[in-house]
Amino acid sequence: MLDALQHSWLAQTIAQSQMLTAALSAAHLLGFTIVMGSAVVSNLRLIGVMFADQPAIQITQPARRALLLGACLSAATGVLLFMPRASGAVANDFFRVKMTLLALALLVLTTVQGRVARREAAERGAARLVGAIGLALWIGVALAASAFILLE
Amino acid sequence: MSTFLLTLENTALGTLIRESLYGFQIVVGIHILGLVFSVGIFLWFDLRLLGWTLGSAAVSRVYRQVIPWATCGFLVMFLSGAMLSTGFATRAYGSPYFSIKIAAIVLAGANAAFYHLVTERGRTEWDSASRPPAAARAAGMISILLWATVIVCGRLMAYTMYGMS
Repeated sequence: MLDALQHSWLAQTIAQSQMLTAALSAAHLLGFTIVMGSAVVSNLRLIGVMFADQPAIQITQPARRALLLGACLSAATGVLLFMPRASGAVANDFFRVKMTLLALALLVLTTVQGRVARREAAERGAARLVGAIGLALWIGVALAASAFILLE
Repeated sequence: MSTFLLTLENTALGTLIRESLYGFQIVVGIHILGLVFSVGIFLWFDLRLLGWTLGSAAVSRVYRQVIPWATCGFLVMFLSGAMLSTGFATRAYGSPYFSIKIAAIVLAGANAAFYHLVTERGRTEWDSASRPPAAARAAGMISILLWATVIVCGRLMAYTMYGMS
Protein backbone atom coordinates (compact mmCIF):
# COMPACT_ATOMS: atom_id res chain seq x y z
CA MET A 1 0.00 0.00 0.00
CA LEU A 2 2.84 2.38 0.91
CA ASP A 3 4.49 1.53 -2.39
CA ALA A 4 1.33 2.33 -4.31
CA LEU A 5 0.98 5.60 -2.41
CA GLN A 6 4.60 6.51 -3.10
CA HIS A 7 4.23 5.82 -6.82
CA SER A 8 0.89 7.59 -7.23
CA TRP A 9 0.64 10.51 -9.64
CA LEU A 10 0.32 13.02 -6.78
CA ALA A 11 3.35 11.67 -4.91
CA GLN A 12 5.44 11.72 -8.07
CA THR A 13 4.35 15.29 -8.86
CA ILE A 14 5.40 16.43 -5.38
CA ALA A 15 8.69 14.48 -5.51
CA GLN A 16 9.64 16.03 -8.84
CA SER A 17 9.03 19.62 -7.78
CA GLN A 18 11.45 21.10 -5.27
CA MET A 19 9.43 24.30 -5.04
CA LEU A 20 6.17 22.44 -4.40
CA THR A 21 7.87 20.38 -1.66
CA ALA A 22 9.37 23.57 -0.17
CA ALA A 23 5.97 25.33 -0.26
CA LEU A 24 4.29 22.36 1.43
CA SER A 25 7.06 22.24 4.02
CA ALA A 26 6.62 25.99 4.69
CA ALA A 27 2.85 25.57 5.17
CA HIS A 28 3.53 22.52 7.39
CA LEU A 29 5.86 24.60 9.59
CA LEU A 30 3.38 27.51 9.73
CA GLY A 31 0.72 25.10 10.99
CA PHE A 32 3.14 23.60 13.48
CA THR A 33 4.09 27.07 14.76
CA ILE A 34 0.42 27.73 15.57
CA VAL A 35 0.20 24.29 17.22
CA MET A 36 3.31 24.78 19.36
CA GLY A 37 2.45 28.34 20.39
CA SER A 38 -1.04 27.28 21.46
CA ALA A 39 0.21 24.14 23.21
CA VAL A 40 2.88 26.04 25.14
CA VAL A 41 0.49 28.83 26.23
CA SER A 42 -2.29 26.47 27.38
CA ASN A 43 0.04 24.02 29.16
CA LEU A 44 2.01 26.80 30.87
CA ARG A 45 -1.34 28.14 32.11
CA LEU A 46 -2.24 24.72 33.52
CA ILE A 47 1.16 24.50 35.21
CA GLY A 48 0.42 27.95 36.67
CA VAL A 49 3.29 30.04 35.33
CA MET A 50 1.39 32.02 32.65
CA PHE A 51 -1.89 33.96 33.10
CA ALA A 52 -2.01 32.49 36.62
CA ASP A 53 -4.71 34.93 37.83
CA GLN A 54 -7.01 34.17 34.88
CA PRO A 55 -9.36 31.14 34.97
CA ALA A 56 -7.57 28.32 33.11
CA ILE A 57 -10.53 27.60 30.86
CA GLN A 58 -10.38 31.19 29.48
CA ILE A 59 -6.89 30.41 28.15
CA THR A 60 -7.09 26.71 27.29
CA GLN A 61 -10.33 26.94 25.30
CA PRO A 62 -9.18 29.48 22.66
CA ALA A 63 -5.72 27.85 22.64
CA ARG A 64 -7.31 24.48 21.91
CA ARG A 65 -9.29 25.93 18.98
CA ALA A 66 -6.14 27.53 17.53
CA LEU A 67 -4.15 24.34 18.11
CA LEU A 68 -6.70 22.24 16.24
CA LEU A 69 -6.71 24.78 13.38
CA GLY A 70 -2.91 24.63 13.16
CA ALA A 71 -3.02 20.84 13.41
CA CYS A 72 -5.42 20.68 10.42
CA LEU A 73 -3.01 22.75 8.31
CA SER A 74 -0.04 20.66 9.46
CA ALA A 75 -1.86 17.37 8.89
CA ALA A 76 -3.07 18.27 5.38
CA THR A 77 0.40 19.34 4.25
CA GLY A 78 2.06 16.57 6.27
CA VAL A 79 0.13 13.89 4.35
CA LEU A 80 1.26 15.43 1.05
CA LEU A 81 4.88 15.56 2.26
CA PHE A 82 4.62 11.97 3.52
CA MET A 83 3.40 10.52 0.20
CA PRO A 84 6.64 10.69 -1.84
CA ARG A 85 8.68 9.20 1.03
CA ALA A 86 6.07 6.89 2.58
CA SER A 87 8.20 3.71 2.81
CA GLY A 88 11.28 5.52 4.14
CA ALA A 89 9.27 7.56 6.64
CA VAL A 90 7.45 4.56 8.11
CA ALA A 91 10.77 2.78 8.60
CA ASN A 92 12.32 5.85 10.28
CA ASP A 93 12.51 5.67 14.10
CA PHE A 94 12.20 9.45 14.54
CA PHE A 95 9.05 9.54 12.41
CA ARG A 96 7.48 6.73 14.45
CA VAL A 97 8.38 8.48 17.71
CA LYS A 98 6.95 11.77 16.35
CA MET A 99 3.64 10.17 15.36
CA THR A 100 3.34 8.27 18.66
CA LEU A 101 3.99 11.41 20.73
CA LEU A 102 1.60 13.39 18.51
CA ALA A 103 -1.17 10.83 19.06
CA LEU A 104 -0.56 10.94 22.84
CA ALA A 105 -0.49 14.77 22.88
CA LEU A 106 -3.78 14.96 20.97
CA LEU A 107 -5.26 12.33 23.29
CA VAL A 108 -4.35 14.38 26.37
CA LEU A 109 -5.70 17.53 24.69
CA THR A 110 -9.04 16.04 23.71
CA THR A 111 -9.72 13.91 26.79
CA VAL A 112 -8.34 15.33 30.04
CA GLN A 113 -7.15 18.88 29.35
CA GLY A 114 -10.59 20.48 29.13
CA ARG A 115 -11.79 18.65 32.23
CA VAL A 116 -8.86 19.71 34.44
CA ALA A 117 -9.02 23.28 33.07
CA ARG A 118 -12.67 23.57 34.20
CA ARG A 119 -11.89 22.18 37.68
CA GLU A 120 -8.48 23.82 37.98
CA ALA A 121 -9.32 25.83 41.10
CA ALA A 122 -10.29 22.67 43.02
CA GLU A 123 -7.73 20.30 41.50
CA ARG A 124 -4.60 22.39 41.07
CA GLY A 125 -2.24 19.41 41.36
CA ALA A 126 -4.00 17.49 38.59
CA ALA A 127 -3.98 20.58 36.35
CA ARG A 128 -0.22 21.03 36.91
CA LEU A 129 0.42 17.37 36.12
CA VAL A 130 -1.66 17.44 32.91
CA GLY A 131 0.05 20.70 31.88
CA ALA A 132 3.52 19.24 32.45
CA ILE A 133 2.67 16.03 30.57
CA GLY A 134 1.09 18.01 27.69
CA LEU A 135 4.07 20.35 27.44
CA ALA A 136 6.57 17.46 27.51
CA LEU A 137 4.64 15.61 24.79
CA TRP A 138 4.49 18.64 22.45
CA ILE A 139 8.19 19.43 22.96
CA GLY A 140 8.87 15.75 22.22
CA VAL A 141 6.87 16.04 18.99
CA ALA A 142 8.94 19.09 17.96
CA LEU A 143 12.26 17.39 18.76
CA ALA A 144 11.33 14.16 16.95
CA ALA A 145 10.03 16.14 13.94
CA SER A 146 13.29 18.11 13.73
CA ALA A 147 15.36 14.94 14.02
CA PHE A 148 13.25 13.27 11.32
CA ILE A 149 13.56 16.02 8.71
CA LEU A 150 17.23 16.71 9.42
CA LEU A 151 18.66 13.23 9.98
CA GLU A 152 16.45 11.32 7.54
CA MET B 1 31.91 41.99 0.34
CA SER B 2 32.83 38.55 -0.98
CA THR B 3 36.15 38.65 0.95
CA PHE B 4 34.26 39.40 4.16
CA LEU B 5 31.79 36.58 3.49
CA LEU B 6 34.61 34.12 2.76
CA THR B 7 36.40 35.21 5.94
CA LEU B 8 33.19 34.53 7.88
CA GLU B 9 32.81 31.10 6.29
CA ASN B 10 36.43 30.21 7.08
CA THR B 11 36.20 31.02 10.77
CA ALA B 12 36.37 28.01 13.10
CA LEU B 13 32.62 28.30 13.72
CA GLY B 14 31.78 28.51 10.01
CA THR B 15 33.90 25.47 9.21
CA LEU B 16 32.41 23.53 12.12
CA ILE B 17 28.85 24.24 10.97
CA ARG B 18 29.64 23.31 7.37
CA GLU B 19 31.91 20.31 7.76
CA SER B 20 31.05 18.48 10.98
CA LEU B 21 28.93 15.36 10.68
CA TYR B 22 25.86 16.65 12.54
CA GLY B 23 26.78 20.29 13.34
CA PHE B 24 24.56 21.74 10.62
CA GLN B 25 21.59 19.50 11.42
CA ILE B 26 21.77 20.20 15.15
CA VAL B 27 21.96 23.99 14.67
CA VAL B 28 19.10 23.95 12.10
CA GLY B 29 17.03 21.89 14.53
CA ILE B 30 17.68 24.38 17.35
CA HIS B 31 16.90 27.27 14.95
CA ILE B 32 13.54 25.75 13.95
CA LEU B 33 12.62 25.00 17.58
CA GLY B 34 13.51 28.56 18.63
CA LEU B 35 11.41 29.95 15.79
CA VAL B 36 8.39 27.75 16.42
CA PHE B 37 8.53 28.50 20.15
CA SER B 38 9.03 32.29 19.91
CA VAL B 39 6.76 33.08 16.96
CA GLY B 40 4.12 30.61 18.16
CA ILE B 41 3.92 32.24 21.59
CA PHE B 42 4.18 35.83 20.32
CA LEU B 43 1.30 35.06 17.95
CA TRP B 44 -0.98 35.19 21.00
CA PHE B 45 -0.13 38.82 21.61
CA ASP B 46 -0.77 39.61 17.92
CA LEU B 47 -4.11 37.81 18.09
CA ARG B 48 -5.02 39.84 21.21
CA LEU B 49 -4.12 43.07 19.38
CA LEU B 50 -6.43 41.97 16.58
CA GLY B 51 -9.19 41.39 19.13
CA TRP B 52 -9.60 37.78 18.02
CA THR B 53 -8.89 36.10 21.36
CA LEU B 54 -8.20 36.51 25.11
CA GLY B 55 -10.59 39.47 25.17
CA SER B 56 -10.97 39.22 28.95
CA ALA B 57 -7.25 39.95 29.51
CA ALA B 58 -5.83 43.49 29.09
CA VAL B 59 -3.51 43.94 26.11
CA SER B 60 -0.61 45.02 28.37
CA ARG B 61 -1.15 41.97 30.54
CA VAL B 62 -1.02 39.57 27.58
CA TYR B 63 2.19 41.30 26.46
CA ARG B 64 3.80 40.94 29.90
CA GLN B 65 2.84 37.26 30.04
CA VAL B 66 4.15 36.22 26.62
CA ILE B 67 7.20 38.43 26.15
CA PRO B 68 9.65 36.67 28.57
CA TRP B 69 8.99 33.27 26.93
CA ALA B 70 8.99 34.61 23.39
CA THR B 71 12.23 36.53 24.05
CA CYS B 72 14.00 33.32 25.11
CA GLY B 73 12.89 31.71 21.84
CA PHE B 74 13.90 34.77 19.79
CA LEU B 75 17.40 34.73 21.35
CA VAL B 76 17.84 31.03 20.50
CA MET B 77 16.52 31.67 16.98
CA PHE B 78 18.80 34.67 16.32
CA LEU B 79 21.94 33.03 17.75
CA SER B 80 21.45 29.78 15.83
CA GLY B 81 20.49 31.74 12.68
CA ALA B 82 23.70 33.78 12.93
CA MET B 83 25.70 30.55 13.32
CA LEU B 84 24.07 29.07 10.21
CA SER B 85 24.70 32.25 8.23
CA THR B 86 28.38 32.12 9.24
CA GLY B 87 28.76 28.64 7.80
CA PHE B 88 27.04 29.49 4.52
CA ALA B 89 27.64 33.26 4.26
CA THR B 90 28.29 33.41 0.50
CA ARG B 91 25.32 31.25 -0.44
CA ALA B 92 23.06 33.12 2.02
CA TYR B 93 24.08 36.51 0.61
CA GLY B 94 23.22 35.31 -2.90
CA SER B 95 19.83 33.87 -1.95
CA PRO B 96 16.76 36.07 -2.62
CA TYR B 97 14.89 34.20 0.13
CA PHE B 98 17.58 35.12 2.66
CA SER B 99 17.29 38.81 1.66
CA ILE B 100 13.49 38.70 1.98
CA LYS B 101 13.76 36.89 5.33
CA ILE B 102 16.17 39.47 6.77
CA ALA B 103 14.03 42.33 5.40
CA ALA B 104 10.93 40.79 7.04
CA ILE B 105 12.75 40.48 10.40
CA VAL B 106 13.88 44.13 10.19
CA LEU B 107 10.34 45.24 9.28
CA ALA B 108 8.92 43.16 12.16
CA GLY B 109 11.31 45.00 14.48
CA ALA B 110 10.27 48.37 13.01
CA ASN B 111 6.59 47.43 13.38
CA ALA B 112 7.16 46.53 17.05
CA ALA B 113 9.08 49.77 17.64
CA PHE B 114 6.32 51.84 16.01
CA TYR B 115 3.71 50.07 18.15
CA HIS B 116 5.61 50.74 21.40
CA LEU B 117 6.65 54.31 20.56
CA VAL B 118 3.51 55.59 18.83
CA THR B 119 0.44 53.32 18.94
CA GLU B 120 0.86 52.36 22.59
CA ARG B 121 0.85 56.00 23.80
CA GLY B 122 -2.91 56.02 24.25
CA ARG B 123 -3.11 52.44 25.45
CA THR B 124 -4.74 53.21 28.81
CA GLU B 125 -7.91 54.14 26.89
CA TRP B 126 -8.17 50.80 25.08
CA ASP B 127 -6.03 48.41 27.15
CA SER B 128 -9.05 46.43 28.34
CA ALA B 129 -11.15 46.79 25.19
CA SER B 130 -11.88 43.44 23.59
CA ARG B 131 -11.34 45.11 20.18
CA PRO B 132 -8.34 47.49 20.21
CA PRO B 133 -8.22 50.49 17.79
CA ALA B 134 -7.33 50.13 14.12
CA ALA B 135 -3.66 51.10 14.57
CA ALA B 136 -3.15 48.34 17.18
CA ARG B 137 -5.03 45.81 15.06
CA ALA B 138 -2.88 46.75 12.06
CA ALA B 139 0.29 46.22 14.16
CA GLY B 140 -0.94 42.72 15.08
CA MET B 141 -1.81 41.79 11.50
CA ILE B 142 1.47 43.17 10.08
CA SER B 143 3.42 41.24 12.71
CA ILE B 144 1.66 37.96 11.82
CA LEU B 145 2.23 38.47 8.08
CA LEU B 146 5.91 39.38 8.54
CA TRP B 147 6.68 36.40 10.80
CA ALA B 148 4.84 34.09 8.39
CA THR B 149 7.09 35.49 5.63
CA VAL B 150 10.15 34.72 7.78
CA ILE B 151 9.00 31.11 8.22
CA VAL B 152 8.17 30.60 4.54
CA CYS B 153 11.47 32.11 3.36
CA GLY B 154 13.39 30.03 5.92
CA ARG B 155 11.90 26.86 4.48
CA LEU B 156 12.51 27.98 0.89
CA MET B 157 16.14 28.69 1.84
CA ALA B 158 16.51 25.20 3.28
CA TYR B 159 15.43 23.64 -0.02
CA THR B 160 17.21 25.97 -2.42
CA MET B 161 20.41 26.74 -0.46
CA TYR B 162 21.11 23.68 1.61
CA GLY B 163 19.73 21.17 -0.89
CA MET B 164 17.09 19.54 1.29
CA SER B 165 14.79 17.18 -0.57
